[in-house]
Amino acid sequence: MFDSFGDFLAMGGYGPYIWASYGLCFGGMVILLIQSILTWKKRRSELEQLEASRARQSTPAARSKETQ
Amino acid sequence: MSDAKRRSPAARRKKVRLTLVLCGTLFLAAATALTLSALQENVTFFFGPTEVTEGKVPQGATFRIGGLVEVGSCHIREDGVTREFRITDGSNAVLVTYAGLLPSLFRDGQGVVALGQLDTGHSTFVAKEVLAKHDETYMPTEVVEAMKRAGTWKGDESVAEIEASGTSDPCKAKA
Amino acid sequence: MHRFANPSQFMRVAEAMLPWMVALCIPLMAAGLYFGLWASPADYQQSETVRIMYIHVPSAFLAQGAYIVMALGSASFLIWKHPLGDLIARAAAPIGCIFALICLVTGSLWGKPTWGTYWVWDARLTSMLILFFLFLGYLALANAFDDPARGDKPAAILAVVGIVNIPIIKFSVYFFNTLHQKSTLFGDLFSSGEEAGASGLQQPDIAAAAAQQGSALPPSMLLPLMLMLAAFSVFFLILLVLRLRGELATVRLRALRAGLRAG
Repeated sequence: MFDSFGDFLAMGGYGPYIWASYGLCFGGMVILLIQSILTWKKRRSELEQLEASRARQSTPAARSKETQ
Repeated sequence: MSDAKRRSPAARRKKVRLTLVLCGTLFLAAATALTLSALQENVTFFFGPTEVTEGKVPQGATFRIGGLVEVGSCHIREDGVTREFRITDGSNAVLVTYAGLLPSLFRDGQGVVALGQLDTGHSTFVAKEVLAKHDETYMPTEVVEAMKRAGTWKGDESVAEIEASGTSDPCKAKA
Repeated sequence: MHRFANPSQFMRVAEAMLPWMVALCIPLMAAGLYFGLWASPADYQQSETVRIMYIHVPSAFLAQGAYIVMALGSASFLIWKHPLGDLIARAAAPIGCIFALICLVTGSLWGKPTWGTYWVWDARLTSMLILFFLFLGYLALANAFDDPARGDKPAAILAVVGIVNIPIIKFSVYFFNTLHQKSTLFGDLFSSGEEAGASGLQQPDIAAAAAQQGSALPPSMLLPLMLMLAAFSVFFLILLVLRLRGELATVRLRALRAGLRAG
């Protein structure tokens, strides 16, 4: 436990190592989380688009769409 | 179909694949285990002082030596840079010289691993790098301090004796 | 018989659990950070750097856990052709890859102030680096082909073959002389105390002092480690479900497009 906030940041002189560790760790985890959600959202909207176009259109239109 | 005879070609193929994967993994594991046990000496990260004194180390080559810093053995030479200390495993000790910066964990009784070569006389190990080996014991600083106050701390007893006798650890002071 | 191998049914259960897992993960993570960074003591040797252990050990644990999930999924895909097996492996691989990287980076940032070096080629560090490369290799193989059906089999074989590395990581510190210390948490399972003292370069009197404390890891340090382990594990499950959902959507998308192309 620390006496002051300054001590907390300094981490007994090991601040750079400890804060870099925690920063990179949680940074990596957050990036992974965001990337996972974004991938799924992108796929879902593509899926919805495709299903909608298939329901309303015949094959030629859908064919041109899938080449994008 | 699923309730039909188990002898269907698909079921047989599944069985073949299962056996293949299991046997393949087992074979691979056995091969790896054999290779590793054959390599064990080469993969060895460091040699102990006993192995060094018995000559079981690569001759004329760079290798690592690991052990505890013998209590009270560390001194700085006249040049003011080179430190010499003995690395011990309890039964044998090897003299090590080192001119670089010691890790902050370095002190009497600490586990260290030094990289270097035996000199021509095979009596001294000339280190190019000294690393501290941390053990798997963790303890809060306050607990250790409390134990020292209560006199139940055994860890640095020998160090305390040396400090009490006036010959403080010169290597630690400089580091 | 294959009720649980049905992807959509599996996902229904998994998605129902998702909000509960999030509700569990956030307080666990917050408590882990509070105890890990603030309300826990400094170590008598490592001083404050001991706090790196609270994220290093869980990420090592989860990188290996993710690999086991990936290998089991791949094995079930190879043997029974379960499509879900391949999807689980594809979902677990990037997670394990990131955790392996976190483990290596945090370990290296701990090693510099403690050992005196960022990296050494000892058996534990090297086998962990190989685990990271196995994840990279799997990801490269699984995504190398335009037609993913061509990449899934070689990738699955790599995942199954690479499983031999997991026991190597675990036992490297017992089998070889390493700079990396032995396991504190699960160490008792593999070695007796005096053995650890002799081969692990532990000072015998310190070992005795630790035994006097009852454990090699005192409760004040065990608590943040356990909280972080639990939080990271739940976080892994959340990520797995999220990524699985994405993989499943990808497969549906592909099937739809293939159907359109054929029609």
